[in-house]
Amino acid sequence: MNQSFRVNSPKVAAETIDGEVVVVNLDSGHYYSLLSTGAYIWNCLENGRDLHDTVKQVIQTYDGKSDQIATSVNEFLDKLVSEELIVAIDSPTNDAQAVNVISGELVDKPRFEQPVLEKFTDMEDLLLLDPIHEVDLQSGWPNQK
Amino acid sequence: MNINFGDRYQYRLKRSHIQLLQASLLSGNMAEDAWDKWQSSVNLDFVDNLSHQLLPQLYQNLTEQGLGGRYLPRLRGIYRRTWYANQLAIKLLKEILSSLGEVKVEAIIIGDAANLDKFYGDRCHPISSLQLLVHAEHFEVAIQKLQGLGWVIARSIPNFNQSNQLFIELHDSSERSLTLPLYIQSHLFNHSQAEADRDPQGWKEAKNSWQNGLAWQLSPTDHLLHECDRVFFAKRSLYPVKYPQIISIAEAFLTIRHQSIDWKRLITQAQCYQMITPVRNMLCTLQDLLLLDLPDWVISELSQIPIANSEKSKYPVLKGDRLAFIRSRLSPLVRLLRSIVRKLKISN
Repeated sequence: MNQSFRVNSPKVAAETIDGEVVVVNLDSGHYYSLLSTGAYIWNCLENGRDLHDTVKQVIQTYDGKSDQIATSVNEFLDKLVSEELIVAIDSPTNDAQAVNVISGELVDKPRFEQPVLEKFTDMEDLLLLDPIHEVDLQSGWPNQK
Repeated sequence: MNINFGDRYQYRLKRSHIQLLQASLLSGNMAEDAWDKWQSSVNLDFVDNLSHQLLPQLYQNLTEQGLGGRYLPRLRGIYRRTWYANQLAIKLLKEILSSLGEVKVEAIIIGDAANLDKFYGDRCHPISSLQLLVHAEHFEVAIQKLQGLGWVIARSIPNFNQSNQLFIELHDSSERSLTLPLYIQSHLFNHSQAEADRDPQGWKEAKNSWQNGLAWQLSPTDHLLHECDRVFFAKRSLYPVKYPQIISIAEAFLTIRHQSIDWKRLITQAQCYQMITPVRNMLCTLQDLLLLDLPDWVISELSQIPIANSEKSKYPVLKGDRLAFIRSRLSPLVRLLRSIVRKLKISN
């Protein structure tokens, strides 16, 4: 049986900001950032793709060895499940039926990078991602650069 | 803080606020021009509170318009932080509504969180307080329930009109990471004698949103009326919002652009609740500064309606509207003279 996933809403909220997927676990208040392949995989899941579809889609989109990509996607999904950001549901489709992916190979594929789930447990860490103030790193706020 | 309220009687937006509103709401060359002027004239490190509230909206519009600039990465950070904090605020609000539902208290969500679930359209405005309108007969039950959950009364606004209007500010005593003040009120315009004399405003046209029928949202027309009041009500110490918000001007703009407004009703309600001045101020601002298309007859009809003396002293007029300004300044004097004449008549 192929495995499907869904975003664990209403416990989890997500938004894509300029290519980055930001996810918040509302129970814990923890905040997650997904970039590049991580964001791509999240979007696949949001669009209802099951495990098989997602792996196939990533292989078609990125340049890398198929078995390594499959392993990385699986590990990444395990992390998302363990952080309770997605939940596994039984998929009605099987491997043979799961072909609903974009057809055709991309010519200039970007290189596959290991998907990363960045986790922030404090609002202050979140601020450090994009400092609101341009401060002098030596002397700190309120001394400007 | 320079809130640029002019004085209590005249309202004029600062140039930087106009540029920021235009950059945040307009499209094409007009947005680009405003964005260029704004970013070259301000220092993001020292931007005032009023402007800061609009920065997530600015980021949203800049990306939609494909505009860049040196501040864009930081605006992105502000947008992200606001989105995150808003998610926690919405969760808290849903918990509160759910708890009120347990004691059968219905509530209309107003103020910063009114756009719950993008009811009035997609936007990211910071939620800095939670504000709920409840029926007067449910008021006490609601407060008791909230106190049971750890909310403590921070202040109860003195009864402005010596009427039946109830208004309480609560603070959360639990050690939550997100702390927001919660306002519970029985009337939408808690300073309005006109509303106190009638049924509380808002409920008749409100739309049931979720939470098993216990959470409501104002109709877009009433939401617009409330935003007009939030921007232009002068005696701000009696109101949750202590300064006029340009964010409410943006909110009004987006509500008109994305929702269907019942203009006839808006005028009727403004007349009933003695709010002609703030509605006219808002619509003139949106038309003149943000080039919003409005039905031709709306502002001219509002201009012809006589304004009550009590309204003149409550709301500032737009800078440049000399006749309205003179009337508003003379209004207290006329009232004083009338009262002296009345007393003289009685004593004679």
